[in-house]
Amino acid sequence: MAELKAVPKDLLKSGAFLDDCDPDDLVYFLLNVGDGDAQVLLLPEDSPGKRQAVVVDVAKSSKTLDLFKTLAAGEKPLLPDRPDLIPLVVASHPHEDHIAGIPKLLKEKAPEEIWEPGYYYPGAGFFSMMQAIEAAKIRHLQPTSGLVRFIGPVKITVLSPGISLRNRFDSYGIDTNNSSIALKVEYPMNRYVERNGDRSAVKLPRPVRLLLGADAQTLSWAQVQIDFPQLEANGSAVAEALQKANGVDPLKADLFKIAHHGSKHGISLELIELAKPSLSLVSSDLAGSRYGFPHLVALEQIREALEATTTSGKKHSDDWELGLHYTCGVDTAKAELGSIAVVLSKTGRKKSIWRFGDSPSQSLDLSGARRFA
Amino acid sequence: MPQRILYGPPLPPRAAEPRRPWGKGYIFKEDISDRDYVVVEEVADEYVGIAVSPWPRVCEDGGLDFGDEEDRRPALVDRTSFQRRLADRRVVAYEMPAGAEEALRARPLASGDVFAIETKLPKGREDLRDEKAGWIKGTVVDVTAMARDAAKASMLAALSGTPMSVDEATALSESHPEPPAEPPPQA
Repeated sequence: MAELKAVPKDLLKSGAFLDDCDPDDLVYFLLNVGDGDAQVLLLPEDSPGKRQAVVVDVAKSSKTLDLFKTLAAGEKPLLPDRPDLIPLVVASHPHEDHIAGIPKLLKEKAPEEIWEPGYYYPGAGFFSMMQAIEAAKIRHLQPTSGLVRFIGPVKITVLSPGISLRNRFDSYGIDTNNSSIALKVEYPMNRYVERNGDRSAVKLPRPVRLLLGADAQTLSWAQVQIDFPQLEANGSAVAEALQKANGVDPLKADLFKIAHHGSKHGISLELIELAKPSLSLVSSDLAGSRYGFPHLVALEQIREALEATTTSGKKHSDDWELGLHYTCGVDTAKAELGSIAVVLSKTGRKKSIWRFGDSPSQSLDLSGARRFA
Repeated sequence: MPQRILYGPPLPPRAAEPRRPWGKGYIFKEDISDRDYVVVEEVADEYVGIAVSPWPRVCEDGGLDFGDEEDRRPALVDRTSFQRRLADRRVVAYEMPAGAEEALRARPLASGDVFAIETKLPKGREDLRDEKAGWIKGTVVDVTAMARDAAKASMLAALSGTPMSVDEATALSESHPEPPAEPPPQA
């Protein structure tokens, strides 16, 4: 089991979380549910004071539903309730620690659409989720890599499962984790202007980008690297004149929700080198983890990919300096750090990290928010 | 009754009936409805992650009801002793071709296996590795095949709406007869 260094408590300052969230910001929550995933992505406001939310996995319904209640409360709520509050729920794969709470969410929040990988699985959570989908009359997709959905200016791309994995579900050796729907979220993607009655696309710097890794393992990531290759710019005069072959780095990310709770099978050095995220977030339990997540060998790979020291022999910087944060982290006063929220502006210049001090069994309380310096 | 039809006409109202345990008296060779439903979630190194829930009940539309999420619990158990117990005391819950049962008994544990087990799970503990096979009381009934079938049906019900009638399924099956097991003799 890895040992995590306590974060100096002076690096965390109490503050007003809601005041930090501007109308144009994306707000990403990684809730502390122990070894499990529960993520909520608040989209930028689509009308004054109103947003929608995308939900990715619900390990425990109470934790996610309580977050919605909290965000809808107060004089100027960040996420007021509305009939079309949730345009999309993603059930990344059918393990209990990702989908156990989805049936209740479907019942109480009536989302518009659900994605799940189509890996039929004889677990209790899978049966309950299917019953709930059947009852809810909800649009239902089983996506593979490359599927894209825009929700306003936010673009969501399915990175995995690749179709060759999908075609081997589950009878031919594809582990349930490798059925995971991993996602890329990009913002802003409404990259065009209207001027004098004409529309034209605009070339802008790379958008803010989040990779949400679910529990995809190395086989799945290998397929992702084939499906989403990094391509260099052509560089020829003709290519530049025609704005063609400008180069793509499709896995480069600002934020990476590390796959499979920091399991040794969930990442590779090369993947993190490609993503080079400024924030790497791990959802795990550490002391209470049944599987000993996060695994030391996985963390060492992340650290090495973010700050190569093999040749120099230097020690790695501390995790928080590398942008590596854990839901199970503690500070030097031994206070739990708990759920994580990241507020991202559309320029990518603002990336505030907030911690809420909740344990896996507690609800998130905004009044306990501390901002990471 | 919740709206459940995506395509086609609405289903006729169903007569309310008491929920019965899944499989009792018509799928499995013995009554296992007082056991727990144990799914192998992960096989990790020397350990096996399992999800334990009460035995499912059958809803009035034929789907399986596992109760609330709070009724389920995860656990981590020792792989070797679990595997050994399976080799010694795995009971296959249904009729199988000759020889298959023995092979099934020896098969290694895999993610997605499902067993009916009378469990002894200490309250509040998830890590049961030190218990060896002490968390298993008696035999282990392998219900993997039926559970997989039920899961597939559950997914198809959610996706495709109204079920086929038995007559329709029979007619379609008869229009696509199984090929003969042996090639016909050459003239």
